[in-house]
Amino acid sequence: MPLKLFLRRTILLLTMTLSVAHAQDSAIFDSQKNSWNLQYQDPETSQWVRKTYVQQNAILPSLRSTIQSQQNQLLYRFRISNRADAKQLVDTFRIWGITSMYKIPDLPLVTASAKLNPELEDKQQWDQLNAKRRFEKSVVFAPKGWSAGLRVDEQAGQTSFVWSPGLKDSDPDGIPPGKAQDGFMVLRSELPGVARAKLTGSTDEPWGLDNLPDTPFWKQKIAEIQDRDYVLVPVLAPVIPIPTPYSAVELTRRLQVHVQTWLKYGHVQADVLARLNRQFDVLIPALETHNKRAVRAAVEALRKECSDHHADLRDEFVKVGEDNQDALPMLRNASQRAPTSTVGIDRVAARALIFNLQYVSARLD
Amino acid sequence: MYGIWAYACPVGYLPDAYPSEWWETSLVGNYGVNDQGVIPLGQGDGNFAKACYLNSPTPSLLLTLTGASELKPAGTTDSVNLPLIAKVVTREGAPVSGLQVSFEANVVAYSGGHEHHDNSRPITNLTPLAGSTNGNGEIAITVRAPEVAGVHTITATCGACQNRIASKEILIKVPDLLAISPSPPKNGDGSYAYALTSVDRTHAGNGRFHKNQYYLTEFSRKNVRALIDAFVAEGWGTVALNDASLPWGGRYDINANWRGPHEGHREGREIDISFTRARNPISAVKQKTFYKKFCEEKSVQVPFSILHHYALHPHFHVYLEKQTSCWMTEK
Repeated sequence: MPLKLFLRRTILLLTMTLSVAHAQDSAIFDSQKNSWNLQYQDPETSQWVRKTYVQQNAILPSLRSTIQSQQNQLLYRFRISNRADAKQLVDTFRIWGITSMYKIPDLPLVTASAKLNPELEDKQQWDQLNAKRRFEKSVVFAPKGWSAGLRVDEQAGQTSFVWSPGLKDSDPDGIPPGKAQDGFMVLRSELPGVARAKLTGSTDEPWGLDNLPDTPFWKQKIAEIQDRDYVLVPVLAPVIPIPTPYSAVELTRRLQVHVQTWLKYGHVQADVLARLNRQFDVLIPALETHNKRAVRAAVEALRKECSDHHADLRDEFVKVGEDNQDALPMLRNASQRAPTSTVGIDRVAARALIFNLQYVSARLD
Repeated sequence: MYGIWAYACPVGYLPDAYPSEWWETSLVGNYGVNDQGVIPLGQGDGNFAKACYLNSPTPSLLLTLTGASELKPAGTTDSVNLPLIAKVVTREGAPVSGLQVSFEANVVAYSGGHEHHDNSRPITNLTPLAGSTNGNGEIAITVRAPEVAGVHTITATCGACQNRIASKEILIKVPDLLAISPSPPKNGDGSYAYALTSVDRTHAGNGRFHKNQYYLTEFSRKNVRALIDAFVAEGWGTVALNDASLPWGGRYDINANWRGPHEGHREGREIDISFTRARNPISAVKQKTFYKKFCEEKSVQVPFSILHHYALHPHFHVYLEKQTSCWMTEK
């Protein structure tokens, strides 16, 4: 091949390669900077855009859950600390995955058609929103400078409690490294179980994943980035409804059902769960036959399973927690898609189990 | 011709009572046909009702124009071109081939929620503009909607037909948009929950303005209500709503020139919320807080994506139905 032709073909090939390389969607993680380098074609302008998305997980939180009785309900109170060597402020605290949909009392109905009577429909919708807001204010409370909200995801059948800083300039921007914030509260009647607190850190452009192209590539990448974009900490949360009328058998069944969820989230290891289940299988029939001796024996066996892993967990700490024992971020596997368990039973799970066994025992007497 | 009534009859017809004393004695052309088509056959004094009667050795031809009556503006979801069919038949219904038919589009001034009009207003594009009928007596044209909503009239003309002209009105619109109520509820402190802040001249271009840019789909209208409620719960005060969509959607030419800068706002699924209007400024730092707050807490009740526009007039541009990020539940 003559040199001239070779050069011409090489230049053409290089040009084509470069233009193809440029015109490609990409999302590359930079572990040094804990950020993603994104390249995409802007859906609105069709221009190729390069930008950096910083992950919102450079926080080192610990979380204390306490429970106290209040007006025939339980007041759940949370305190979050952010370790001094964290790189970001904790600016969102969400307890998610509560598989309850709260019934709002006296919720006004929307009967009017938006098309036929839009003004009436509008008024009815506002009345409904106001009722929801009043209910929210009776359930979730925030410390000064923060705001609290109830996120109800009807599609997923989940409720979340969410706290974030207020919008006034005098309000904090989050919990800085080396600081703690108390006073996040929830008032509900459900008994405690284990939920996960989803915590995120403050970054300059949290909206960085908005307006990416609506393509399978970016859907998959956004999911991947978002899966790494938070820290999970186990937390005591109101998840076990007390049956009405009261039934110790039914309550214990609900407790056992809840305990099964711990394996998936890494709050318990499989062998420990198997032993817990064996005791539940003794406890529930004993409650059905009012065999108090067998009930107490099964309760004691369940408590022992907890104390075997947390010998220093005394009863007085079940409700209030302990110094130096705040819950730490859950370990997650390499892809951070699922939590992994390193202890037989998580301390928060042990506290929840003991609290509920105490409740069942107290009402038994 | 004051006091004189000009009379025209279609091809193949003669004026009633022709000839009579009030018709001029001579007819023009061959039964009224000249180069331009049909012209007055005669003229009278205007005091009598006139009618035409059939007096033709050839069959009368009828022109019709059929097709859908509504079309979404270009640049909106599922906007498609619309086929229209002009057909020429005899009075007995037999198709007539080889007849020339021409087409023209016009737009009704001030329609589609645009309170302005001029000659540069985009009109419907027709392809082809003329042609001959086929063996079925038909000629099909394609109607391509402009980006701007409005009432458009498509006219088919067949010089040899009895009715000469057949027209069809086509509504270029996004259907079923609903207005945000102009009567906002009050907050606990007596302030209004929201204000429609674009209905003023300061927000308009070229000294002209739109007054009806607060239209949304029913779903978005519900979402924006929840969004406002969430703002209020955060102590935001009166929420300043800048621009949503026009009553029939399509391009919202904020500067009344049939062009940008608004690229979105076409389908009743977006709204702008001002940082600074209604006396509720928000600092740059708190804009981040706002964003995350709404992503994490409100995004279920208010499915939305927020874009920040930091140009001359900073504001949130809210996609009320297009949720991309911010949508996470525990798996």
